[in-house]
Amino acid sequence: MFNLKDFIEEQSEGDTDWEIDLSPLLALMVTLIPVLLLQTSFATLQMLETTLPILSDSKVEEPKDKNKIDFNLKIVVDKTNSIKLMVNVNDKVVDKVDLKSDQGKFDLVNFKKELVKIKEKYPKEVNAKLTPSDTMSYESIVTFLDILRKPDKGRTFRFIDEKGEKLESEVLFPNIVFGNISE
Amino acid sequence: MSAISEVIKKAKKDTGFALQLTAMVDMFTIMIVFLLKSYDTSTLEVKNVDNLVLPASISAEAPEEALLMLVSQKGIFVGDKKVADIVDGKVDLAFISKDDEDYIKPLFDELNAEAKKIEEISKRNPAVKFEGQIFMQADKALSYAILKKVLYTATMAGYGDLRLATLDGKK
Repeated sequence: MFNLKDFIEEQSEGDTDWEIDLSPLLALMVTLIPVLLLQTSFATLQMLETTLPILSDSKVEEPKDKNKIDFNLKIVVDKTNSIKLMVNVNDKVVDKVDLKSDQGKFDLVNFKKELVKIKEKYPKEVNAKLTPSDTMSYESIVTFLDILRKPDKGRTFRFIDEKGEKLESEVLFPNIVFGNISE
Repeated sequence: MSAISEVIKKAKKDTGFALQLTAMVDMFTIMIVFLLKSYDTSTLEVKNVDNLVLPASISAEAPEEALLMLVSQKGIFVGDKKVADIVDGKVDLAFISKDDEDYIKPLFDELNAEAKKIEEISKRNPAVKFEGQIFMQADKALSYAILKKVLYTATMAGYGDLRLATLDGKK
């Protein structure tokens, strides 16, 4: 009967030049590597989810909750790259900030600060309407979406919900709608 | 027996010369581990059309399957089909409706045809539903003026759930 231990001992004693034949393993690897190379994605694809206003002829009236405020945050970027922030609560403008561009560049530092201030005042709110200018690049729009969605790392906003429970939010305004699509 | 094994054995017999394959096998093992780690079974991939460069995002999430729409510096595609040309940073006027300057007719037709396809499938398979999801891969240098036209046409065709493709900017 074949004994592996005896076989190895016999091989190592009798023939000191004994080697493992690696060529079949090499042949397997030479086949596997091109297959894997074809299937591998070196750039990790991600996605940012937003909603578009769907056009409709009929106006749908939503039932109003008396305890809930009608919050509306509008961000308008004009052709000079100035950013205008407007907070409407129950159809009244309660806050308005105009961030002038710095030599044609967006004032993103103050934009972030203003968003944090608004979120501290209205921690439950998650909606925002972004109206970019026609000249704004897609890359800049994605930067704005990033800033609107997430505050600095570790920053949280505390609030008490309708049931009286203390909650913490780690996001700013993640539900972003493009404002001027159907205008 | 494989061709490689035969060549190595023949060389060994003829000249007494043996190739040292251990280092090569080590290298290939590292490569295979790396490639297996980067292996992706998702059908969503970065399309290499007209040198399209995606923007990077720090807050993006893992992508989900949806109808693919591509907007490069030279054209607009639905899936792999080109539906409109972009010339000098503007949508070619031949593809824009005369009545509505934001409406790209061939893009609407293609998106509408895709929506109808899904609706036809849903008649036979109720598990499949048209939910108006669209996955847009657009070049980072494109202006919002072009994207606005594309998005407006998409909303007209009933696509309201927009997913913007980005690269992972967290790395």
